[in-house]
Amino acid sequence: MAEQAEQRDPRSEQRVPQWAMAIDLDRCTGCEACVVACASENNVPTAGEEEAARGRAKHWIRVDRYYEGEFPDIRVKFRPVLCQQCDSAPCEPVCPVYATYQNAEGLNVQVYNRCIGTRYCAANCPYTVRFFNWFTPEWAEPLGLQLNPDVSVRPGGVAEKCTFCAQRIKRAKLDAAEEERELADGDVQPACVSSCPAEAMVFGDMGDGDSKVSKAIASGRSGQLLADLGTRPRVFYLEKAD
Amino acid sequence: MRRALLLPLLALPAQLAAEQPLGFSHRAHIERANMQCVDCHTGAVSRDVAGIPSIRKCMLCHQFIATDLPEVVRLTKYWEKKHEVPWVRVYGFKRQAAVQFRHAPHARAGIQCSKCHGDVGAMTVAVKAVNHTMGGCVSCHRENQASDDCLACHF
Repeated sequence: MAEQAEQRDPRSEQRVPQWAMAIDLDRCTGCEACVVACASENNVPTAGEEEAARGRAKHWIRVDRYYEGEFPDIRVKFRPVLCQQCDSAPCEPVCPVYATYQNAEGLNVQVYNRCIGTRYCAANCPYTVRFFNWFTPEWAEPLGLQLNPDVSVRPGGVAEKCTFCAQRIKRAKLDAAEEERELADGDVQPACVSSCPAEAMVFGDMGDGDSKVSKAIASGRSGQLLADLGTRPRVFYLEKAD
Repeated sequence: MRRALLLPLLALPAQLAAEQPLGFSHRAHIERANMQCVDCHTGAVSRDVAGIPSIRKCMLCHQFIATDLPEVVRLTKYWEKKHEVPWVRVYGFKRQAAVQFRHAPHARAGIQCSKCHGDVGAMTVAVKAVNHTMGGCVSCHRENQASDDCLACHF
């Protein structure tokens, strides 16, 4: 588990939150509400049939399926996979223009206007959660009319990925500042988390020992995806120990 | 009077002053009528976008005030046709810049409008007096100990 040195904001002197997510696989029903919510929140374009067939469809979050057992005693397990916001991210050191880096809050940031489109990051991501815009994005009508103004529409030629809904983190911080209070646990809800009908996903500050996500991580059921790679992901999967 | 208003307009470099549908003078409103920026750009202190006011806001006053001025007569024609005035936006980031700017936190931090928009109150036509560059944003952020993380603006 990533133990980061506690950082404080120079102006407010508040502790810098360490964002993390916990996904309870025993609760996930594979309904893909998170996939839909993410696409509409983050202006993720539809690829179209031809491009999708070439493996160019973009989904900042996807639901992987695993079949266990043999028919008729078969069981399907689902695993939502999004950017794991690794503490030791394979995508970062390969970027020649420093368009992706980890910020103080533990987010792997993708700076669209700095990206020159080498696609090294996508090639080096073991979770395949980075996507490249081969073309200027288009939306089937009328989806183009419902773009989220809080999120940039990425131009052609740049890489993109899940941001842990950075715009919602920003909005929650501004709302808290407006009301002159500190950010509370649960103030930030990424689109996938807020849309999950089974409440399988929890998001929060893992630097705060009392937060829901910290408790979920410490529950004894948590693990990380491809943990043996040493990427130290910030997304934790909870499942029943075998 | 009218000549005095027009002279500084002629002295401005043409490429800076956008061609506006009406000869709206910021100076007449700020200096002479003693109004505040937020009276019309209502979002500037409380919301993301400062906003260009709707013709309803113009007509709140101009139904009664200075109705005989030629520019107000032209404004009234838009009103009678139930059209908005097609103002030309002077400031704003290009889409490619992928900048998410919010006015409210800047106002809350006590940044004056003129810091980024120049002395609009002295302008007869709004011109882009300050060029918005990333260097300008970052140096001001650093002076004020605001975040200089890329993600503070680009997402």
